[in-house]
Amino acid sequence: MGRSLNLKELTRETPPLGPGHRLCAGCTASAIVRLVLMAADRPVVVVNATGCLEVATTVYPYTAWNMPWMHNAFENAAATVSGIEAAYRVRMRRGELREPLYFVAFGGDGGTYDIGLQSLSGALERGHRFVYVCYDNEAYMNTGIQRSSSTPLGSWTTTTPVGSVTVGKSTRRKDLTAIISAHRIPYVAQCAISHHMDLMRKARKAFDATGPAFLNILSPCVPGWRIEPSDTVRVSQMAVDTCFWPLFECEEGKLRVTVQPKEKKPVQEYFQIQGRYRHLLRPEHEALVAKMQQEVDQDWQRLKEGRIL
Amino acid sequence: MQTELGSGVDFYVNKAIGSAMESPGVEAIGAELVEVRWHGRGGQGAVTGAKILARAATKEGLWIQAFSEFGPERRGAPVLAFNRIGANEIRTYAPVEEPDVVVVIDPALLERAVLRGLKAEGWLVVNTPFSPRQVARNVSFSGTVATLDAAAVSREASLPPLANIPMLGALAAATGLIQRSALEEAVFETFRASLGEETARKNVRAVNLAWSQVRIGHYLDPGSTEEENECALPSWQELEPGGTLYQPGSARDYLTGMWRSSYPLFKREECNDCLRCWVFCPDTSIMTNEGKVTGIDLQYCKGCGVCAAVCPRDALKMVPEN
Repeated sequence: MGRSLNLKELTRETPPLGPGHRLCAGCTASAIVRLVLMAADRPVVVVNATGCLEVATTVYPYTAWNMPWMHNAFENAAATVSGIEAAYRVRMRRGELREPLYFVAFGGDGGTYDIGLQSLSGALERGHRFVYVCYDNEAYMNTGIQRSSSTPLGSWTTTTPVGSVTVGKSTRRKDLTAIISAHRIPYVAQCAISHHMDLMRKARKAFDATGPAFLNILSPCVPGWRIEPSDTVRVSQMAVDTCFWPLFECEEGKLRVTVQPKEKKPVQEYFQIQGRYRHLLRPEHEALVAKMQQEVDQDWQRLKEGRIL
Repeated sequence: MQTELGSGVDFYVNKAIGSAMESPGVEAIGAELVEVRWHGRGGQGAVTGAKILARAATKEGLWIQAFSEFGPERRGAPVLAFNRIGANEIRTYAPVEEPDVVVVIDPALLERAVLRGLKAEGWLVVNTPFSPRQVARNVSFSGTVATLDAAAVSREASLPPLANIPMLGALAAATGLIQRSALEEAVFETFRASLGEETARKNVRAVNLAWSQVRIGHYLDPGSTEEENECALPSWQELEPGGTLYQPGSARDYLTGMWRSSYPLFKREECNDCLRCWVFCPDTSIMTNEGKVTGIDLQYCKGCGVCAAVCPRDALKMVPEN
């Protein structure tokens, strides 16, 4: 099967996403894209929802992409990739095309959890053969850090401020990975940039799936999470070590945790390295943090028992 | 007037206070409407500078706008901020294309491109230790050039090395656009609200130091620059349908290395070629040969420091530029 996931060998190839893009210094979105696409052993057609990745990699008249790439609108990356994939199948059947291809759509949490969810749900239900990748930075970062339905409880954003009346976002995040798995598609996984081999193995499985596949990848954001540019990978590692962002896959309905932290750390260790959570370390928010820890523990226990919900 | 002038979201203001008849600044520059373009980098305070200039102008009864470019430019990237200042109500909300004044906050951004659209009778105000003549020659600009060593001013005022406030002083002093007292007031109010009175006073001092240290020169260079000032982008009629681009990876012509303020120093002898830096580098700036790391591509490296942070050995270390 295809090429190996040997890093040394992959360094010889043209990167799927090249330099000269204008993502923030330290942004993890470009490495996520490269790791996913390097796992493909066929040519890939990429569709991009509106968002940081789209805007910053294709500033006219430049593109940083080294493969066919299309942007349509915010809400319809999955519908656009559906159309391309359907046309490809027809032309294969007619004998007009011969080369096997993969189709991938990238969207941020805004374009996936919120604005593009309807078209994504439709594409998954119709069974198009494509991989949808959500690079999840947990808010609308492109427009200036507004909350999305992926923003976690208690997190600061410009629309969920921290003050005497509100303490960041007042509701829990939507469990998109569970929603996607409820479509009973062949492959669903959660990944993190810090665990790059786990990420690439999951991307490979997603490409090999017999129908739609979905990867939800945590993408630490320098301005939005109020972290240092050099800290993005460390913060991702801590999200996994605290089980705040557990890594698992759901293959043909069978759930499996793929990364077990050596020692599960308390959520405070994740909060204290990010400005968006710093207020939670104040004594008056102890009860909120305890509640969040309890939620993390419950989710983790459930995943270990093999249940996604 | 009460306007949010702290750091925060981009904004438009267009309100006149008092009479719009007295406008010494606008007269000084000889126009009904003065347009200013600021060149800085994300985080250097170009937008704050524009906002404070606007606040000062309202104190003189002028109509104002202050806004920044809404685009994909990120932290550390070159950014633009704009002002419109006029004696009458300002109805234009378009980007400033032909500024009367160009302010360059970051010396490294000084190149011919900053002159785009700048009127021949306009002002070029630059943060640099060099003289106006050297700047005029460097970018071959015929017009009025003002220079200020903003870093020296900040040092003298015991402020962190932010150039925007000294450059505000230089801009106002050189162009006569805003009176000193109005600018002092605006600076004081802005900083008192956000950082307290002591910092506010230091910033007012920076304005005053800039006022006395700014150097001005007027140069008549017959060389026409109009052709080079032409915008390079195609018109909408010339665009491919859908904005199609045919050159994969063409962004490699856009060098992001100038965003950097520190760079990774690579020690080959410490490297075990684990390739973690290569995996995580957001800008594909880790150069390799046969699977071995050979160095850093400083044309694109934005200086984020991720490579040094993920290196399990001491093969990569961040060091400041210069």
